[in-house]
Amino acid sequence: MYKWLLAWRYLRTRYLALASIISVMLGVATLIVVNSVMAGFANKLRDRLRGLLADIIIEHRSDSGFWNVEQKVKQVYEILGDRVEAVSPAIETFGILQFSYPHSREVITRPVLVIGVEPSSRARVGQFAQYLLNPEHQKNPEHCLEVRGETARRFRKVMESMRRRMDWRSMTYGKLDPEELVRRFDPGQNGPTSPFDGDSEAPPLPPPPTPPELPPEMREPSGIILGYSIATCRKPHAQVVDAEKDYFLLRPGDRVSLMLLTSFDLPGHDGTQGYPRPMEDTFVVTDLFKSEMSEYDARLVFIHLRDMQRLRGMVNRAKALYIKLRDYRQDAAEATRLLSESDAFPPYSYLVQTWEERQGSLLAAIAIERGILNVLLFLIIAVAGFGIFAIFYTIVVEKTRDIGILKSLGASHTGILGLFLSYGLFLGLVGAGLGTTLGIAITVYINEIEQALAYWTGQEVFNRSVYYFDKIPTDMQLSMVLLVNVGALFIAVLASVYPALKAALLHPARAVRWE
Amino acid sequence: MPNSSILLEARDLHKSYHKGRHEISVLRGVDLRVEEGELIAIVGASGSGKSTLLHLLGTLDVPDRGEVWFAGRRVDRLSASEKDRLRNCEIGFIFQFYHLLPELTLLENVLMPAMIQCSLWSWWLRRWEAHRRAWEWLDRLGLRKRARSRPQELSGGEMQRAAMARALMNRPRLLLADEPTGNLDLQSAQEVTALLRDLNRTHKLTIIMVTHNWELAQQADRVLRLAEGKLTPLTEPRNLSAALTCGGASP
Repeated sequence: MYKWLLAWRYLRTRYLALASIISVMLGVATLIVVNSVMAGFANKLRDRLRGLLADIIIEHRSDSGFWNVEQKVKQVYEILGDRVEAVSPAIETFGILQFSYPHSREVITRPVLVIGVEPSSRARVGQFAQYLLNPEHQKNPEHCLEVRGETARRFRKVMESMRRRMDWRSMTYGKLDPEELVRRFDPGQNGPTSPFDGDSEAPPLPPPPTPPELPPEMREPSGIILGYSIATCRKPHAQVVDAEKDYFLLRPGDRVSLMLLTSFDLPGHDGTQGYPRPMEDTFVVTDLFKSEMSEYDARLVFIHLRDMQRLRGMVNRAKALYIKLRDYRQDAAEATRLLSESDAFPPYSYLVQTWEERQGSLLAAIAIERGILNVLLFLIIAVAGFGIFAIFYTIVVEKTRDIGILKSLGASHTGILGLFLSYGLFLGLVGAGLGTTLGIAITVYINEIEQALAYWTGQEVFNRSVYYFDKIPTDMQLSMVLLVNVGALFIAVLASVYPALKAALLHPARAVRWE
Repeated sequence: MPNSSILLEARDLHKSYHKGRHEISVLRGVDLRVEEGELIAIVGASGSGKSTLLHLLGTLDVPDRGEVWFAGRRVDRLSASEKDRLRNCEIGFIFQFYHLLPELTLLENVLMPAMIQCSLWSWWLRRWEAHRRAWEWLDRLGLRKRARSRPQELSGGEMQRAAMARALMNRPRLLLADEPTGNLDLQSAQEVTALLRDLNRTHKLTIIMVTHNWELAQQADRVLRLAEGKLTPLTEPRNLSAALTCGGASP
């Protein structure tokens, strides 16, 4: 009983202990804030990465991808059964985007990653629709790449005028009758186009004829969705609080030119081994894509899968299948195994990965960064521990006579030890309690604090152009707060062990005589 | 085995200290027998080893040689925890500089031996009884109104009376007082002297006190002089006066 009473009184009366409390408090608060912000960033990053991909990705190893998309999708459903929620085929390739800035007429060229998607199924496997700026497209993503109404009419008019003015060398494949395309390129009729297809018994592919050129006015305009950073640029002196921080270089309805290469593995038109040829087409911007990940927003453009197939000569082919599972946590491992072991997706032709495996190095880097930062920050509390040690040592020397008195009254070694350990525990508890309160308060109001700092200093503390997050993301986990508190208490008690032992082992007669 | 009426017995106690390379022999064969209810005064010059002897008798220190018996039990060789229990329940200490704990109120200081005796749970059960006893002693020693005060707010006499209340809290059989009036003014010293005599008479409390106070020493049943590491009895007032003034000690 006396241990708790004295420890409590020491805590209230020894102002020297305040230094220990403050150091523990600052350490705990810093750990909570940094962990919450890092967890917030990591979670947002994971959400974005997962949203951009899907739970499981089946990717064909060859550039020409696999044939008969519908059948492959069907096979996925057969293999995984009820575990599958949605499947979406896709083709990814690099391209060059060109557009002219309406005011200056300057031609701007950007290297981009072009993704051919089926909008409706793509929206079901990830968060594709959520990242579109047009609310209408968010609700009905299947129409997000369609150019309709006045925009389509305007497009046709512009195309016609361009045709008259220049040698229209692009649109080699143009809009062909689908049956004609299937007849020419479909390996179901002509055998596999790729040695990776695994169908060795199919007859060899005859050389395809040179595709006819179609007049552009016959073509329907195709839509394209651009990454937000491609279509915008940040105003030089934009403030944190400004609603409009970006200039729009392109808006929906504007035309852009996209150049990419035909598939590498498809045979050439003269019957020899295929070689890629540049293809160019004009698209109409239908929407912008803002994932708040600067790297993706500055690089990704989406076109319809059929446009991608047309441009790359990959009729009825796709490069990857994106699969959404009903319960990712429960089924991911089993689904990956089933797909990898199935005959439909042999490992020499297909790479089956979960989104975490696909982004493994990035996620691992984040985890390592977080771990190292935690170790470094925990050193702050360790420094506080040394502070407690020094202060405790001083207090024990100062209280030597009191220790002697207590021993003359019958206090045991363990009692004195317990007294000073309790004192350390109280210091840790108060410091950790105050630190937790401060840490939670800073985490909850971090955006307001950041804005106030930006206002006072005139410097943007959190650069939104890097992540395009409107707010600093935070994620405060109860387990993390508890762990930090337990760690702080452990260090506080640990730091008081030696001084407490010294106090406990004091010779009572010498302690009583201490001046 | 000591006589049953003997409460405390010291046999051939030796104690020396090391100061650098030098060994200072403080006690060189002290023999002492204290009967139950006796009031004994030990006088001697400063540095003669009086406090050392009290610490040995109170098990705060261990002799280099010799034995200490308490109530028929040899106590100098007890384990640390047994000595702790003995000091808590059977022996009370009073010091010259009161040695109250400054962070606690007077009442809490008085309650301290009872708190040390109890675990958290047993204190919860026995706290009212302990409080009653503490208030009794505070009443008896005229400190009721000062019970909630901190030691630094009290006079020397009040602090010493509070230290006495604390020493008596667990009803010890032996009270060891190390110059209890040494730091008090004349009036407070007389009050404390009268209290000690009263406690000895009414409660049959055995008291051994080290003192330079002539008046206090005169109240004792026996006065012993510690000189050159040995205890010798003093019976004549003339000798007492000489013993008290020896070594420049003040009365």
